[in-house]
Amino acid sequence: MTDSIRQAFSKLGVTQGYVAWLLLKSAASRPATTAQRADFDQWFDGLPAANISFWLLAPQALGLILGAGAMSGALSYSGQAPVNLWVILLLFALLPLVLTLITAIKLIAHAFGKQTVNQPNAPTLITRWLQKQLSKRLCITPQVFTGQTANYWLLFRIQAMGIALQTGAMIAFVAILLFKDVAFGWSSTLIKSPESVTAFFNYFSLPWQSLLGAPSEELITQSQFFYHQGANAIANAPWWPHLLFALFFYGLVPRILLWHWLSIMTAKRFKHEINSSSVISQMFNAEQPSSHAAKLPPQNETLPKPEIQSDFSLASNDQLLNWQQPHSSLALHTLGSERWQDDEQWLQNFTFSEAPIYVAVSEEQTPTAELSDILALLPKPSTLVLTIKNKPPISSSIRSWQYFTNENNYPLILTQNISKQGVSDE
Amino acid sequence: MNSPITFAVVGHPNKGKSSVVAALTRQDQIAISEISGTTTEAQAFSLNLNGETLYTLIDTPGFQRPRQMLEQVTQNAPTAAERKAAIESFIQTNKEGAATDGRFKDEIELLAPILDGANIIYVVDGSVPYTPEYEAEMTLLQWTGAARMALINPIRGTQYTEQWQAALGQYFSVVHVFNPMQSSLEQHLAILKAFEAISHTNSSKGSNSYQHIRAQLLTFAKQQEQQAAVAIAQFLQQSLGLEQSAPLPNEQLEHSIKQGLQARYKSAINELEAALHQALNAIYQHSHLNSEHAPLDIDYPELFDQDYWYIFGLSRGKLITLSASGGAVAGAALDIAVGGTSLLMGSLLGGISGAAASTWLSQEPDKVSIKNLPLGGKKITIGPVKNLQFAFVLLGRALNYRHALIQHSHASRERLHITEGNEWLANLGKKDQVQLSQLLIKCAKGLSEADSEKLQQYISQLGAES
Repeated sequence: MTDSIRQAFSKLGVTQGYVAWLLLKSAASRPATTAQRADFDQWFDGLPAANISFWLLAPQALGLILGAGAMSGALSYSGQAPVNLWVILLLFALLPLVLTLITAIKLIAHAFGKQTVNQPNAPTLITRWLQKQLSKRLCITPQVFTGQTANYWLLFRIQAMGIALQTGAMIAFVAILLFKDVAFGWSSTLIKSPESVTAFFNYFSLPWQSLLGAPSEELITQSQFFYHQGANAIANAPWWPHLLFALFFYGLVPRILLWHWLSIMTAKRFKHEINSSSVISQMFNAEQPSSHAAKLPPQNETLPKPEIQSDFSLASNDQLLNWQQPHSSLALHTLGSERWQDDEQWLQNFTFSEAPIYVAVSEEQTPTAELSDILALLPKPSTLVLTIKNKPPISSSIRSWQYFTNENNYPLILTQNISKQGVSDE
Repeated sequence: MNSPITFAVVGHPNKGKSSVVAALTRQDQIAISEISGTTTEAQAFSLNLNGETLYTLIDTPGFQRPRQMLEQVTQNAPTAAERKAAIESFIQTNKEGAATDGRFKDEIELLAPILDGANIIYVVDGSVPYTPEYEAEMTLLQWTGAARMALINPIRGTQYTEQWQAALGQYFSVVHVFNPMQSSLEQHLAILKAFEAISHTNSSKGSNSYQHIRAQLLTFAKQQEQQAAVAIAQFLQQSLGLEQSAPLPNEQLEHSIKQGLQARYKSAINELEAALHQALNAIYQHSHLNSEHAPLDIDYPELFDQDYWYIFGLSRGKLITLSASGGAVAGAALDIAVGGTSLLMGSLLGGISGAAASTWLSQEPDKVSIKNLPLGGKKITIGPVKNLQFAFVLLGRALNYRHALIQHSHASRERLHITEGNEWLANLGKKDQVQLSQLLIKCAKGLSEADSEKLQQYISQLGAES
């Protein structure tokens, strides 16, 4: 059964499934009685997924806004000079590519066992925010959000934000071009020759050359600008499709591939964590019934401290009976060892004197209702004499006899030996 | 789906019926009283592993009036063929009266599940002599016609076991000695075998069920071992990699900040250890260990009390040997890399430096260091731990705790008793011991996935119960 539950968690995926898993782990880390099967069923029915969807997507929403904002800033120009396409390529194609490659290299190094995957350092703010949200919104204790799966999951979420950022930038790029006339050009202090730039773009545009071809030498020559020139002459130069493809192939595609790889790695780690965790078994344990109230033993303080006499001496006319076993040779008869009918018969036929009646029992016996019934048949209230031979005495037995006599209002004498008029029983 | 196999656990009062139920269903929340006659209702408990109910045991009150009941049943059942019907009729007749005056209430509670189809486990105390007073209740159980076995519970010893075996053999097809306070997988499997033996007399449940239960028990034990290894490996990585720091605004505050940081660090490690204990309790189904009593022996030493490190860690000699071997292994790698032109100096120097590194033994795990911050300030840092001995102490304590949990019966309401001893490494070969030491040292920096899995494997091997 736990196997099917584990599979179901895996199937929920690394976003909703993992958060549901964190909830379960968090509940299991609290005192055992808190974690109930009903809670588990509730989570399992997908309730957490509904609660988490909005705030978990907040980093992506932020990424979209930031990407769009950054692109708007990069595309703003005064009209005095065109937008330098190096800036666009650097910020939205090369920089994301370099960051993606660094993360990928670290992951490859880890995959070959050279390095541990730690919590991502650069986006600490996002990591902290996610941890805070998990703690605040879902009451997930911080210690359950640790380990390899958590680290992979954070990286995975951060890549999702990176994708959103790049997508936001591309959407803003297209939107701005749709409603605004933007002139692109290139300028450089060190590279003056358009031939070098053409050669660079011949390689750079390889991913989309089959669709669009490389930027022509004419386009590159036309779009070179100098700051003393205005932007008008090159305003219509068709750079934008190349830039859009560069954003897509260098900024977005590697990020998506990394995100996909991380989703696979996170899912793998998640599956491993689920399989090696005791949380589900723990949840099943929590649903076991506890003992009923009738089972609660009396408190220690309600029973008096046992005082054991070394010898209990009967007066010459005292009447002693044994219960079930021949505890004392001084006894008149042993009750409880034959049929119930025989006991009833003997009690009817025997003539008791006015002297006190004692019933001898031993610590190796346990008191039963049948003894109460016998005591009720005696012509007068009697006293139980508990003989204690074991060293040390059987404390549980003494407590049982004390409890029994307390409940039924019988006097109880604890003794190591029974004698009569100075004659020992032994 | 078939209903689980059910046994009613019956007997004289105070012979350990609830303990047997707790041990065989692995449930530590069952109330166990040393006072006789406090169980007044029958209650079912199941052995659930991985969400599957394998069998159910019914904890019942003890016989209170067996002779009186036997007499009434005998009067209504002149022949053997009518005895079971007479018992059923007795229960029906006395049900109403039992509800009002309590007479025969316990007998009705304990016999009802048997008449509903439960098998019988009759529990006696093997430390007291057999006496004929038990015969009335054994006769009644025999007359129910249910499949039945007897368990001799040696509450205070086994001195009367043979006597009991001779007597019980006349009433029960299987008689077994079972001490619920010393639970083990082997004992559990042996009891299962006995269950299977008596069920052959009862055609409703086949032996396939028992094979399935046995397989589930073994799988679960393996699963527990693996889960415990993962939990301990995570604890080691978290503890040994723990680092805490605080800015040092003023040199005069250095002493008090150091002290505060050390206290914080120790408390964090202790919290991690407590969390590990809780996780292990859950894995070994001792969820209620903490609820009523302090979980550990009173004399269980505090983690940072170095006087007791010898109990859980390694001897100084062993530590030096492991450190030297670790260094030599690293040096040998250098020798191989240079094609032997170093004349094995790498191994030699590595060995010497490794042995020297064992002087870390005298280094406190909570040693503080002061680092300069870029803006001219200073920072006091504590951790990660580079002390190999401390790493072995953490590992040894974790393994000892795990061992104590495995030994601790679910029927026991005593504190967990942790035994001393640091012979865990004996389960590993020399080469693996060195590799384990290297992994523990690496924990301070964090382990790769492969290393982490290797550490789990070693922990599993170290903790393997012989």
